[in-house]
Amino acid sequence: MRVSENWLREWVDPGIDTQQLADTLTMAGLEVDGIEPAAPKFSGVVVAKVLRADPHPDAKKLHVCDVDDGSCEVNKVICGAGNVRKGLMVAFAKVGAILPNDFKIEPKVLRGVESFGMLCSASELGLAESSQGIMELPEDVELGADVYSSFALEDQVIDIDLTPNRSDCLSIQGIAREVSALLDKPLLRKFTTPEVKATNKSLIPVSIQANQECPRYVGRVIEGVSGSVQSPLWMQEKLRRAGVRAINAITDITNFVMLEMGQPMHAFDLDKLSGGVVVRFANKAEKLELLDGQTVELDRDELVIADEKQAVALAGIMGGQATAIQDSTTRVFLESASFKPEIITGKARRYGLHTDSSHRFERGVDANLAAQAIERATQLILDLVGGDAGPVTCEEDMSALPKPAQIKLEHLKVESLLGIKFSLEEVQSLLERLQCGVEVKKDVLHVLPPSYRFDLTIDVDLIEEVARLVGYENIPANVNALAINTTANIEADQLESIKGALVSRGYHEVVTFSFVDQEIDTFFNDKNAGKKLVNPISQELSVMRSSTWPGLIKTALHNLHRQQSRIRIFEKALQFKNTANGLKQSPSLAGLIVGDVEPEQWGSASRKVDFYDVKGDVVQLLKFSSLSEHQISFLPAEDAALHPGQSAKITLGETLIGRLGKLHPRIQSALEISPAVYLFELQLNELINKAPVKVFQALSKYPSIRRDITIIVEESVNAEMIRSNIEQLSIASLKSVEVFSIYTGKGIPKLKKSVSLGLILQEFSRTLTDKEIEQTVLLIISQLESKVGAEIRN
Amino acid sequence: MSDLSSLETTAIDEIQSTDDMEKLESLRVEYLGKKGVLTEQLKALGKLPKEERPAAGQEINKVKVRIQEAIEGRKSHLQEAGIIQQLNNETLDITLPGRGQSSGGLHPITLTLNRIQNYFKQFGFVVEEGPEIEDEFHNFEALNIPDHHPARAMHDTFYFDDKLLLRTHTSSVQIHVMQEQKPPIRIIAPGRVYRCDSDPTHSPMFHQVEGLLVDEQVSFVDLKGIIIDFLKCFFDDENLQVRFRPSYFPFTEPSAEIDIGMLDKNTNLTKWLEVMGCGMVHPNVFASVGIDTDKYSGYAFGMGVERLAMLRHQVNDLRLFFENDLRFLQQFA
Repeated sequence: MRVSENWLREWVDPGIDTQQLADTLTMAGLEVDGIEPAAPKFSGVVVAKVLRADPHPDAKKLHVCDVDDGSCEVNKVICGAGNVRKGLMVAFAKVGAILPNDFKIEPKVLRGVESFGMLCSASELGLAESSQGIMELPEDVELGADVYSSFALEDQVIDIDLTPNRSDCLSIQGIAREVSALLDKPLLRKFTTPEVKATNKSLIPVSIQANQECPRYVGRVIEGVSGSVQSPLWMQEKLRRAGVRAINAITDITNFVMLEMGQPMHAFDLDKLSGGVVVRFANKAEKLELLDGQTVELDRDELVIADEKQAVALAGIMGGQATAIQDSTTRVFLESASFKPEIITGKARRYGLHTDSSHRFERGVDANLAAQAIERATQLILDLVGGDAGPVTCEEDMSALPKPAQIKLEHLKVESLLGIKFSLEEVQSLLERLQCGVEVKKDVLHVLPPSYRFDLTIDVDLIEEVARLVGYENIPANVNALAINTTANIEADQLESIKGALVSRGYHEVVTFSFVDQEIDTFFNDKNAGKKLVNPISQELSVMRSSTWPGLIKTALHNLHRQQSRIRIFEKALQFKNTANGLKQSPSLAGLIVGDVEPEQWGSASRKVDFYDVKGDVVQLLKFSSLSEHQISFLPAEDAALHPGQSAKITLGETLIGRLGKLHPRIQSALEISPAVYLFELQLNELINKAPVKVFQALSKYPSIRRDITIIVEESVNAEMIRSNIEQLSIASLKSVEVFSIYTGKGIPKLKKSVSLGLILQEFSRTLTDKEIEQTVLLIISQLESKVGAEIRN
Repeated sequence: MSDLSSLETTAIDEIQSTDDMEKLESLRVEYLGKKGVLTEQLKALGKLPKEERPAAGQEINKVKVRIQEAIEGRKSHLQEAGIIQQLNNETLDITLPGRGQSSGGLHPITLTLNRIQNYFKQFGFVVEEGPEIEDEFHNFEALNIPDHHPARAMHDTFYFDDKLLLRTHTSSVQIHVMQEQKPPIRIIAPGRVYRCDSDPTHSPMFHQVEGLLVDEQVSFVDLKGIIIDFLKCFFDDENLQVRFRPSYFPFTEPSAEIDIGMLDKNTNLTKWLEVMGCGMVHPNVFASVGIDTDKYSGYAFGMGVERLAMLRHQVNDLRLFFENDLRFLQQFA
């Protein structure tokens, strides 16, 4: 809401300067976004009249003008504007004038003709962003008057960012009322407008077919007007400072009343209406050409104003083109109605509209304003345009009109909610400053807010008003520490440890968008797994990711394109999947590595990352979730996103807890990534806090024995098969089995490999005998011979 | 006797000029060994007249001790020299970089979140995370934002075709928590939120932290107390200016926006920057989750994490957080 300070001061004298006023408003919840001058400073510009405008002898587009600025001399001025003409009232910058941006006016010679001064456009005076031609001033302005002062430009525009609950402040009157209450200053004018007596009997029938949505409709016919009349300068300037364009006097008056009182209005050209006016819901696919030129196809949930034939306005949002005020208009029908917010909300948006009217109706307009506003507008039309008014027509459904709220406020509740004491009298007087009716019975205040404060409905609303008027800055802060309330929060800690482990292993954490390109998402999951947005920002951000990998890969690409050859990144984020059991949103931790294992350094040879690097990292991470390597299995898995020979699923018992591997070369080339990419992804819900509490195992006092064996197996026999087959034997004294060497080549048959295992054996209560050791090793060998076809290598 | 004296001189010379331990050992054997020169001379004492024997023996023994001392002295000298030699040989260029992995780092958003969480955890606030794809009930209705409410339009919500939506604020977590837990409640809810808006100062995805405390006898002065203390801690500034300004959120009443004062170096005036929103939980919110407002009251607050991170680390472009350029991330490692 843009508020001209001068206009506001016509209604209330705050007794403080602009900045103090702005601070007062901000601290009362009417946040001031900015203060700007109504116009930039200029001087030496006066009102003048063009006496003649002859074509320049040597330039097609220029005119040589004689200009009368009220002094004895006639000024010769060259003007290039298309609208310059004899008789026009103009803003004339005399020689010596200083325009905005310190632009000095000096005598000039233009194509051989001298020019003394300049005829100004609105933009040259800083009164508009852009303008076509020079300003055309109303005829009633005084010749020679200083433009800066006669436009009253010594004014500030205060831009207030109103919260949606304060629609009562969407007018000069509303702000004035607020200032009056905040500063306890009297209002300088009365809000009530005297009735304008009808001087003819013209009226048209009004019927409301949607009482709930439009509980009140006030209309009036005014005849003998002229649509071509322009509004006076003072009104045009008030509109301009509020950000509203001047159009013609009648339309300007309806806008002026809206800005002054808060009631949106509309004026129809009565001769374009067929019969009476009906407020009804639109018919399916009913068409309406709006004032902005677009033709919209309406729906049944939209309220329209219609005549006998068709819709003529989108109720509360915008009028129709066909019935708009035009130069030829001689009879108007004024509308001042109440529409419920529920019926207006969202409708303007459908057509990309946001009008001053829809803005107010969406937030709510005091139903009591309708009748007052039509009187004010009528009076202004009669004063400024002429004509004679018919009687006011008022259709209303009292039962559908909002009921005033009767609020019970217990005195003690003020203290219990705000934490400081207020006397009953203080509360009462503060509320009365807001024009609330207050009746005190025992310790309870019975409060009747004014009709425009329909945002006040329950006791806490009133308590906020008390706090606001006192000032939040005057409510103390209780700095006593809160009572202790410990709650173990282990989950976050375990995740933090995992993240810390990744960081110390060289990974950088990244944060990427949760929505991705569907094409990329489908590389990593089923086509239908991702959840699609109805209104995405763009196609590239249209589907909720079912894997965290697309974001990591996009980040890797961003950095590869910026000469980073070694990338280690991770992200913790939700994954979104449509499953048979509905939508699943589960937290995941995913990582990506590309390039060298270590940063380039003198002390060790460089090596590219491979599968075992990413696996090594994952195993270490899992330890921070308290799961040990032996509880977890890495099994070959078919994964469309990964290299079939270099991928694994990670399981904890029967549960899948993650996957890892090399990005499939096909995807790699489709995404135009040159180095090999290794990825992992862990499901945090399956991981965090899944390990049982560790229980101490007593330490053996007896020595452990190591025996190494080397077996030859088919290449297809993997380490996990060897390990699990040994584990199946459940040998109590076998503490661990480690693969310490794999060898293929000379001395080993084709398609076979040699695997060396280190066996650690230990008995808790005694030293193992050589014989026992021998037996155990033989048992293991025979198991491997029978289960994985191993041969012992000598 | 001159023999003995010249023998000693020769031996000492030889010992002092020896540079290695092996040579020194062979000299020891040569002079002091079982068949050494001095041992032979002692053996030869028997050939002397009886009365000369003690004096001659003493002389030989004195020489023997002196040679022995010379050998020991030389030995420790050579040992010391050897260590010095070794140290010289093993000296490294200690200015070369150390070997191994470089460490990575946490994202500045996470660092900021941790800072916020660590503060509130001290007062027993528990971290809660809710779903990011939400229903209208949790994101709007239960928070006193009915269908036609203008606040809905202001939220620029991302929708799915089944009436689900991406949460527009972490306030939705309040509802989940109050549905599942009984007061007293102290939670903070960090997380990603989404608004259908993308330009240099708006990201379609960003982060918020919501806080909620529900207990008996909670009032606005308590809210002011904890928020002011938090902001002073967060910005490491005991003298930080904080102001509460009335505002409007459908789910709190009274509501406030919180500004911090920053000195504008150009004008020398205090510039107020909005950093948080807060208020006392609205009775309609309590009603939607069945909490008795006669017994309990509560406060809620919310903050934008990127905004706090930008202020603290002087990051001037919101988009940097989501570009994840390593040159940016490394600055926070």
